[in-house]
Amino acid sequence: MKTTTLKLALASVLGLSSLSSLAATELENLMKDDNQWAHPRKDYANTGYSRLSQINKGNVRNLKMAWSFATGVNRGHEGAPLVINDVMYVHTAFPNNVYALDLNDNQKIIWSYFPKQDPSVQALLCCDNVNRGLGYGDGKIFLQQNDGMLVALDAKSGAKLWDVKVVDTKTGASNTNAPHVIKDKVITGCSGGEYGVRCYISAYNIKDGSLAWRAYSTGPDSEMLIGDGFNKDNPHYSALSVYEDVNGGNKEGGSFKALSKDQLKFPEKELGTRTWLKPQAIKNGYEHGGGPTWGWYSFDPTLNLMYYGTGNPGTWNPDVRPGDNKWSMTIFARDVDTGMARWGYQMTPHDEWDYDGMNEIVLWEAKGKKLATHFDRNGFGYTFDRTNGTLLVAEKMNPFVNWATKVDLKSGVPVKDPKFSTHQDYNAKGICPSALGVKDEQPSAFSPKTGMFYVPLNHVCMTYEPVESKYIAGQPWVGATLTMFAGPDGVMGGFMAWDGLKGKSAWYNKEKFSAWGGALVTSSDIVFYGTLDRWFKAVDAQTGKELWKFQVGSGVVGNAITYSHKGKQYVGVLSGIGGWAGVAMNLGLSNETDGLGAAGGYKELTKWNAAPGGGAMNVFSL
Amino acid sequence: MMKLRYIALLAIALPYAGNAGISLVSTIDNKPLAIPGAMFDTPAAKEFMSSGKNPYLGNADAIKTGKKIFQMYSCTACHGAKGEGAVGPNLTDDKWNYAKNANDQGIFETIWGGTAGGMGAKGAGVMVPDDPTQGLTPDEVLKVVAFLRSNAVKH
Repeated sequence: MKTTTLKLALASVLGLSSLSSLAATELENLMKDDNQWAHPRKDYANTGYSRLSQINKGNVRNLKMAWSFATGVNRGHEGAPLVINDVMYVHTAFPNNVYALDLNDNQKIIWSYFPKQDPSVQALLCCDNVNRGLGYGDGKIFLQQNDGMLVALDAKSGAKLWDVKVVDTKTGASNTNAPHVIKDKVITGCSGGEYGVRCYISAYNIKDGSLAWRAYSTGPDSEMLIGDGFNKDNPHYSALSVYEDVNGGNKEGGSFKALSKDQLKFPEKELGTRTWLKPQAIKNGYEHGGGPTWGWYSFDPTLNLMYYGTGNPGTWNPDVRPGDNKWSMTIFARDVDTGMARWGYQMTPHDEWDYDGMNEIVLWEAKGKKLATHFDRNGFGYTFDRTNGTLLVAEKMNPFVNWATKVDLKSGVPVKDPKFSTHQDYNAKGICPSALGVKDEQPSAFSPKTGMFYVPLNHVCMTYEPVESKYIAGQPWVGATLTMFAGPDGVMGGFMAWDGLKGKSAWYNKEKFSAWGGALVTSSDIVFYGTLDRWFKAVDAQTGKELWKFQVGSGVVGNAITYSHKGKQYVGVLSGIGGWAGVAMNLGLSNETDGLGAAGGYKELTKWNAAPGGGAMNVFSL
Repeated sequence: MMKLRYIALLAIALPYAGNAGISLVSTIDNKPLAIPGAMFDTPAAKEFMSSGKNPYLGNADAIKTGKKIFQMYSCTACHGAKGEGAVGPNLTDDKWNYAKNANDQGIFETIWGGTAGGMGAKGAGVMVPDDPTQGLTPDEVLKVVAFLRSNAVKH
């Protein structure tokens, strides 16, 4: 494995990557054309921003449903379709069917693709049977099936051109991410943080599906594609340990004191193995270290760097994996041709709360600086200099975040509050946010016009009790039980505009339930997003004031998109309640006695949705 | 230690014939569950095999151990801390995907052999077919069931 990865990395360095620059140009042109929606978040920078402005603040109240398409599949419909040259490509929850709809002929089905997947893979999907959408490039539609197969389909005919197995479900791994085409490669991830999978990110050549490179989230530097020059400008990110144990650290009553930058010892190597201290629950903790990579990947062509986050370390019981557990919970910048890491910053060292770090990284510019902003599950909104990873801003997205008092900008280390440290067989109470995070996978949008981010939010807290659990390949390996309840606002969600330079929200709307749909913002300063109580909404980007809403068939966990067809602007969103939000809500339904503070709130979701939620694409126009 | 003993027993024991008591069948296909009789090696397990009743119901020590096992095998991942349901079904109410789970024998069969609806087999020797050291013993299954029944919400 080691040598193969190295050879492949070397081959890439030597210039295998020049083959399909033409194809990349085609996709890059499509990304620039606002009539299309050719990439999961529209562009490489993950903005979810469109310059289309036919729908404006003056006429948005006249939006009407133009057409809808029932997917024939139930449960959570995350992600969004692609729109390329008058064809819409719609994906579904498991079994991950794909439909190509002809926008020139009343959305008639041009082709469809029905994967044959072993139904048992559904048992591996921790948080509903979701799939976050498709990728496009080189005339191919890419589908990352739940069962680990990455499939390339001819965009015109739907014929399968090649497929490749990305992860092995026998180990408990699966896939839920959208494949992202970057240049001549298709990038895809790995899910399985709750199964002790040692996850990785993979780049395949779009021509033939051959593996270009693969970078693990934990383990030896050689397998993580970490080499010389990594964290060159911020060597303190590569410290062996950023905390000192208080009262014994990993046991009831223990906690972790943040070291200041001058106390840190750096730079160190091989941290992907050496920050998994002994004794571990298993021999070499990093071998089952998690670090799933199921988010949205962004790319800066001028730096040739791609950005993504790694998720939680396995297992959720922190006491059995002493150490910082690198490089889980990390934002990585990697050279997209070679996979080599340029920089990596761990947001939640030695995670005690399942604050998966896989949320999207949005690339933007301000004051002549190349920036990257990330809204983490742990409740902090981060802005980096994306050229080298220097941390510029790290502020709480909402004051209810209590596991840490702040992030020390000099050291980059979060200052943990000992009150909310979690330990085996001790039920820690009142931790905010819950494991769902202040924000989960539902992507934010960025408008270069207003300079603001538009961020869908959860407002949920939890109790968290780590327990002893046993690693068995292919079986769940969770190691904690938790209950969730509404945060101090008395609601479970919100939606805000965020200033990425100041690290402050410009406006904040409460939402009754978690806002689990991804945001779209247009140059006419309208923000679109959907809610779990079935509303698809348009709000004013400057003020957050609601401008329009329409109630669809089931709760929305999909991302809003816009495109135009024959000169007319359309906005659309998938409906079909589910995802962790839908599943977690279901958890509270019959359990008022369980002391779930939000039992009332969760329960009310059934008053808004039939279960399981039916999937549909909903499209609107003036 | 316990587990090593079971491997030895597996090698010599014949599948439990069932003629002395109950006959266990798979929830997946209703075919007999071949569990070596020697695995029923505690008084409670023997009692269960002869009467189909779970003697651990209401037994505080067994419930406590059952809770540990429920956590150890990450049953909590799908069914929640108390079996109240999460991504998998609620096991504490009176709604069952398989009606037989309401009785002691039925829920034993479901846990041991798994279902066609996404739950894998948890019994020793069938949980990980090529590694008989993994999985629950009959006695452990009975304790897990005692734990779940102790959390049942009365209707």
